[in-house]
Amino acid sequence: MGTGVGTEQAFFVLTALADAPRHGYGIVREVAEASEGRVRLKVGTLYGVLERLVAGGLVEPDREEIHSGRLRRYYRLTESGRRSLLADIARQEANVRLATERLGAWRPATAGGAT
Amino acid sequence: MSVLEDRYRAVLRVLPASYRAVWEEEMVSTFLDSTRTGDPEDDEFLADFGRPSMSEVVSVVVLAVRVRLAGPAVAPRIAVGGQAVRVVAMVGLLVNAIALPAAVVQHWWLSTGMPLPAANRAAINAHPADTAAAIDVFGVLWIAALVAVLVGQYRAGKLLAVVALVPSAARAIEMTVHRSDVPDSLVIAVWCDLLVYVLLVAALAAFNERVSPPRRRPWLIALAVVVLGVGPVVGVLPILQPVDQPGLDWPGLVCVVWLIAAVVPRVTRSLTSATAVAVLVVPVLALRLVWLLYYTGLGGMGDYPPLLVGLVELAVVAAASVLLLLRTGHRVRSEAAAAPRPSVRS
Repeated sequence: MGTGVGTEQAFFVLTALADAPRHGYGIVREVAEASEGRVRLKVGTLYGVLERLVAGGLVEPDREEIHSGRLRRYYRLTESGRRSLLADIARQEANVRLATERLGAWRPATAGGAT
Repeated sequence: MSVLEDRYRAVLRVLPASYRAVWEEEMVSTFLDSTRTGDPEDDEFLADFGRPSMSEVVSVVVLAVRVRLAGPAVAPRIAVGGQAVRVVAMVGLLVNAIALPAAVVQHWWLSTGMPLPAANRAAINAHPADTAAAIDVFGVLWIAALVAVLVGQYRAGKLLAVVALVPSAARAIEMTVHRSDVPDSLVIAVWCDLLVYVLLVAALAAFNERVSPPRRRPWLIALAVVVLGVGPVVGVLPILQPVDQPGLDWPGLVCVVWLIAAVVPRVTRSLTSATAVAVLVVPVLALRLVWLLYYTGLGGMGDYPPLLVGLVELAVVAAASVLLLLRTGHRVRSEAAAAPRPSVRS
């Protein structure tokens, strides 16, 4: 699914960062939970998305921590990222409204409704 | 370092060194975190005997391809490579844009009874009209694909280019099926020809959401020159040359155009276009070579004029490409050495 912020994966990464800064694995876990397991980001995919969002100014590094001797870099949503996410939500809501309205007018073909 | 970490770092080596310098430690940390099961025994077993899953490996390989083609946070050497591949893809579309005007002018020339060497009439009649018509129609798609890329509609551009390949693919398949009617060397040449154009279309993968569309003005001017000038000339040239004694065939023409591009300082002034010209030598030489092989496969035609001309073209282009590659490689290394190191904040 393409979205205004890029791919569905990018949408979920931005959503994962909407309430708090998170590190790479934190994003992977949050996206899996938010999508009810439907979107499981592989590490290569995650960093491809993150790099693009950072380059586009939608996400920025927040801080770095060393955890069990390993680097954890946290990312946060920028103001531009917040606006992009809001715009995408509005677009998806409009899509849902349209589809719901159309489905409301749907009748089975045998009932002589629209096909 | 655990065996699992070692194995994952080995996978990450497909990424450019400049990219790894920024992202590797973080990617390793995220990967190892994602393998934790919560059970210390299982974790220890995984650390000692585990391997990155195939899907993890594929995600890194896909990332490596994307970064090399279009990544913003990579070394200039790789960024230039990505830009050059995009120029190569645009040149591929531009070259194919010749098909439509060339075919239109050919049809006009033949239908209006313009002068034609006698030997050519029979050869032209041998081509099925429906194939020619299909190539005409599909020729529009190359132009549409180029325009789509210029306006940033990359997905549409890629789709149009793939569809535009259909007649060539159909022709290759048809020839393979009816291979008793044609020499094997011709079947091979047609498939190699198709492969070159498939690779040029594949280069369109370098256009993705990370990159801006090419500058419109120079490419639109080039398109106008191709459609109004080069295309008609390319259409008429082969039918005016006797089929039994042609002087310059299509791969030969491509060699000449490549040579002009390689020696004109204005074309190779920017590092991107110099690299693109250097990359383009591969399809140019491939086309030249496979059609030469076809000529050599024609029995009893050892002194066939295009063979000698083609060999000269092959030698000159190969020599010029070595010089260009050496010079371009030196420029790329110099600029890479002078450039600042990339970082996640850049």
